[in-house]
Amino acid sequence: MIQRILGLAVGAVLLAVGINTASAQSNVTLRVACYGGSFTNSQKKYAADLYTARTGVKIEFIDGNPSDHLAKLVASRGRQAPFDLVYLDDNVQAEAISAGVLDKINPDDVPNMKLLYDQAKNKDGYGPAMIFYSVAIAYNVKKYEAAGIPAPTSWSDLWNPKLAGHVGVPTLDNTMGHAFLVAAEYLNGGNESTPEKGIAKIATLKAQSYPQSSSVVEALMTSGDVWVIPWMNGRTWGLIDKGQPLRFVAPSDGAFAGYTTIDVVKGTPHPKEALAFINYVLDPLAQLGQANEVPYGPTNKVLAPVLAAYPKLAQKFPSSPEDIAKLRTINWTAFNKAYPQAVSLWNRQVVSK
Amino acid sequence: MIAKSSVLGAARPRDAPDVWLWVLLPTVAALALIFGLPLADLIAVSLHEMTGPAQVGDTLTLEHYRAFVTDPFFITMVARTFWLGFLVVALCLLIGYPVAYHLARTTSTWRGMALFLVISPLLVSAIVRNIGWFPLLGGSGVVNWLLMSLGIIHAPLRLISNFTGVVIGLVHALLPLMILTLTTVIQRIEPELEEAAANLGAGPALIFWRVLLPLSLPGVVSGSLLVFAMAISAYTTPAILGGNRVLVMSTYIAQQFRTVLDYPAGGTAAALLLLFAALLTLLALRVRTKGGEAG
Repeated sequence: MIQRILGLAVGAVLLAVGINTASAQSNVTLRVACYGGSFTNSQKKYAADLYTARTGVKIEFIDGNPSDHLAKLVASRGRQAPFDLVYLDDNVQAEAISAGVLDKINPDDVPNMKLLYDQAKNKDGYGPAMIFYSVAIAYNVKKYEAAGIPAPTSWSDLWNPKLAGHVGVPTLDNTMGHAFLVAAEYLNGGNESTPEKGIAKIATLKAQSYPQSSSVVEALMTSGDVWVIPWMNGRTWGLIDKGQPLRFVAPSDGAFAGYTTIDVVKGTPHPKEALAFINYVLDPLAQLGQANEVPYGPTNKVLAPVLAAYPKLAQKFPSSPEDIAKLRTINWTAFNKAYPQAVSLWNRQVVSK
Repeated sequence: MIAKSSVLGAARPRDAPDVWLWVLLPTVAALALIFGLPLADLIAVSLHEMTGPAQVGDTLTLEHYRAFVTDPFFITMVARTFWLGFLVVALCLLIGYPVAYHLARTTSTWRGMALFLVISPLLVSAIVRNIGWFPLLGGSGVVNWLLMSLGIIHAPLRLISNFTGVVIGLVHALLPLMILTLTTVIQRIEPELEEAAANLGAGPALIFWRVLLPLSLPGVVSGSLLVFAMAISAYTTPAILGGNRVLVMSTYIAQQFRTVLDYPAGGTAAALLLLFAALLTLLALRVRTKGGEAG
């Protein structure tokens, strides 16, 4: 149903644009660093194409990993910036801010910013979060039932001896791994600044493996080698929708909030067009289209009542103000500072054990 | 006739280099530009301190090298990398030699088909090839299912997401290179030599040991060298099939460059891996020339 409405809405906008502003022309092309795959596709379909139709400004997506984008931005400091806009994970955004490669945004230039949840606004005035996702526990219901293990209710349930050899632990290379490290740090009486506590805790876990990429996690969950893993809502729901016997549960001590941010790159020759594009990304239509296509939660709070009317879709991501308020946030500044030490400890105590 | 060819043979080394130098010059220049410069930059980076993610300071330091060579953790990692390379080479030789011999000697119409099958792992993208092992090698995968239904084992074997998985994946990926190298060399050995040895009363084992193996040694050495170099520098297979339990030099380098963004640490490991590979290549070349002289 929502699919059809969205289709009609996009069609209507494109049609209206075609009639009214057929003369929209511009020589500007914005280079936008993005993630690739279905995420880029939905951003293109619901934000970029409409934006180009209205303004004539072309959008060129450059796909890659957030840390690769950051590396390129840092490498080009003092020269022409390689992108005008960049989508980043919130932890990478924190690094990019301290590296000084992003521009602050005046909310008056991006009217949709006023419609965002407070959690989506950057407190230092940099780019906002354009989607929310959550990191919680994905588990295989059938394997749990067969082994007589009760459904997980807290992060510490992953240390259940009955799960030995069947727990997947995401590596420290991705957001899921970061969140799980923080969960372990707090379980062991520490925080983001004490990686030694988290790593020591994870080292006691009998992991099946330490997968890095989502394709490997999907293969391991599908083959039944991994019964449970800290993972993100979107990917887990992708498998559930394909008929895998999985469930995605928020532990009582809190699922973690994940954000994808969008920022203007410092030194862009087209700041005005870049800000206008961000406004399109935060637009309710683009946000709903994104959520419907790839299940990440909109950060535009106008959509909360719409999503409440579609519980089947809304259950796949943080969709209500209550959902979003419940998510645990991570102190990325402290985490990033301790990160090299965390990786070194991880290599020595977790991988090489 | 003989005199003429020897005159030609003698003349070639003196005249040829000039021509070949000019022919090779663009290639060498392009390689120097594409590989030489970035490598020099990489080594330069490893000699500076890290000042932040993806950032390098100005002062020169050998600290990263000191930290690397004095830390048992890194020594173990290097040893693990070499052990992996050694195992993969040994298995490739063991499996590849009989196949290469058969391919070199057969006149069957299926030879083309067999050759295609040998090359087929090279035609698949590395990621697909590696992910494809999951349903085969997993705890409830085909291999474990088969072994358990036959009653050979009673609990599933750990064949993936560990060192074993990496070895299996690399042997699969690199076997074609070993087989192709060996086949070319074995083809050049006249079958008459084996027949002569058999006529003189040698059994198959003796023929292999005294005739075939010594004559194919150049192929064995170059095939092994190729496979070894590719095994110790492979990244995708250890990253996917090792389940990130197997920290080898390549996965460590990738981690430092792509995740921690600690370029000096990654550069140090990369420079050392390059050095090891270069030394081994020189050593193998020397062994080969000596072997050639003795033969």
